Amino acid sequence: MADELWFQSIAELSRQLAARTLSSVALTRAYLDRIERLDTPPFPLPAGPQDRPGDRLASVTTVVREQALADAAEADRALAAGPPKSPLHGIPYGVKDLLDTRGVRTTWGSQVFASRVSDRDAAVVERLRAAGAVLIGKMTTAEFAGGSISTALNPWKLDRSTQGSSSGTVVGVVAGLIGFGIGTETGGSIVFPASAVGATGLRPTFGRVSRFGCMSLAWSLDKIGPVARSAEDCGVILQAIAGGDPRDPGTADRPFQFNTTLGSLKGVRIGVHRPEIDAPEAAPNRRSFNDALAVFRRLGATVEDFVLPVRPYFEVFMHLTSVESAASFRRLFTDGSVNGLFPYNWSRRADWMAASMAPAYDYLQAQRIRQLIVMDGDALLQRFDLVVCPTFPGGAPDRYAPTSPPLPPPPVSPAPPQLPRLNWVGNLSGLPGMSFPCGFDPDGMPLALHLMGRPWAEQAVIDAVRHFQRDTDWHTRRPPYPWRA
Amino acid sequence: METSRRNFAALLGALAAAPLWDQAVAEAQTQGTVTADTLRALLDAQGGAGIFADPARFAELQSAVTRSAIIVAALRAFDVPADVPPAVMFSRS
Repeated sequence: MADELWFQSIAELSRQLAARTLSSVALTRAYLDRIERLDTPPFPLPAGPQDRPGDRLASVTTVVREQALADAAEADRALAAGPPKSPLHGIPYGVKDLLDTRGVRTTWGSQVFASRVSDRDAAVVERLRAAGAVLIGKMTTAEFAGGSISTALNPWKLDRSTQGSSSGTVVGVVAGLIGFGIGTETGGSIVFPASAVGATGLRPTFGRVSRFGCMSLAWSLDKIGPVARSAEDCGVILQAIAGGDPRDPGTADRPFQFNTTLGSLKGVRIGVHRPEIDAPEAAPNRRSFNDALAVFRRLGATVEDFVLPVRPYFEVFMHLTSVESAASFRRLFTDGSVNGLFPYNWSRRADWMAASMAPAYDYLQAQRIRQLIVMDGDALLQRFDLVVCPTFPGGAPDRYAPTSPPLPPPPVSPAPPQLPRLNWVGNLSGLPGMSFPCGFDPDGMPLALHLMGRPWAEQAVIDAVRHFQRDTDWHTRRPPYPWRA
Repeated sequence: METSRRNFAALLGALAAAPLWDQAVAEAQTQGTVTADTLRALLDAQGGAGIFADPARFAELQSAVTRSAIIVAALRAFDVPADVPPAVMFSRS
């Protein structure tokens, strides 16, 4: 079996499965064996970036071997008897370990819930099961989707960060351990690791995908989306998981029908948030970002710079996330299980307690500023069809870099100057966004752009990246094994 | 409805917490840190001092509260037009 099988697209795998030149059991076994060889961690749960002996990637928290093989055999029987249920029929996937899976433990990345087994599937898992996809792994996440953000290792260079709580899903996709993956994003947890590890990740519009059965980090910001090896794959996956769900009042009755016919980029207006390309940390990578933007120009799009207005984006995001997660995890304090958090996450206990001290009017003030940011985003997307910025201007930092910025010295200015980031607009406004590889930094680490569109315009975002990926091959580059130390 | 002494104390704590928080915000801005006395009073009002009794954990909390207070100061300093509602609206679809 050629190594390349592990990296094939959903369309390629689907064609072979439907033609029965490849069986789902053989494909599932191939991925499971590869997980066994390259990944299975020598510990029950990843307990932080400092505890990573060897070169195992630690992207899978729980391998679902027996059930996966049984589901794959069932898929083969169904494919022999009739047409596929969907393009995902028989294809193995991994889901971030925040989403419930009936009969398979869901730990939320914490030893507090190391034995937690739900009797229900998350809505996304239900939908993927209905589409015939085969669950093979619960993918590593940072404990409660925060704190240390490098619980899975980066296969491009083991000492570099994976940059977000969906890092297990992203590493599994890029290392060819799963056919595709499901991640979640509150403030960047799909797009940031997709950038650091070289995957294509889609953050859908807020409300496009049901969060029923998924751990809540921040109710007003959480999204669930696909991670794959191409934009086209993301479109196929989104079609399977999107749609309204009365069990999640945050969803809209907006299913997604992926149109595989690709139009032209001619006349499409793309806005570039230039300050993020001109930022000092982007200097070594600026040429890569500008070359990538030139691809869109060459394909017929108009590309024009813009600058975001000054708003306290970071402060709004931090306060909303802190207060909502403090409320969500309050019961950890009341039942005493907060004592069981991994030491790397102890600072989050303090953050939750701090957030619970702030009065409600500060939360509402943050939501009022957020409303302004939403209106800014809507106005921006009247001027442009799509907007873009580097996903992470500086590439993937060191794995051991601190995740909390240092406190500023007193007296503290009430509005410290900061670089506005388009990502905050996208997440606070619930806009769809896709991170896709666009080059490498001088150290050989992946770089990516983050393209966003109007609410519910995932097709436009996906199509623009499909054009880019037809014209370039960055998304097809694989980290060579053995991984660099 | 009966109110126990404990509930009554918690209610008093909650009433006292808002001015204490304002004091924490002012301290964070002027001194660069929320003082230990203010933090202890806030913790008493919250009723969750247990895991923060250890000096190292208390220092961790002091940093977290200072960081949070600095963020809140920035939010309060930002002028929002009076007719902009919070992005939290109840509606029936």
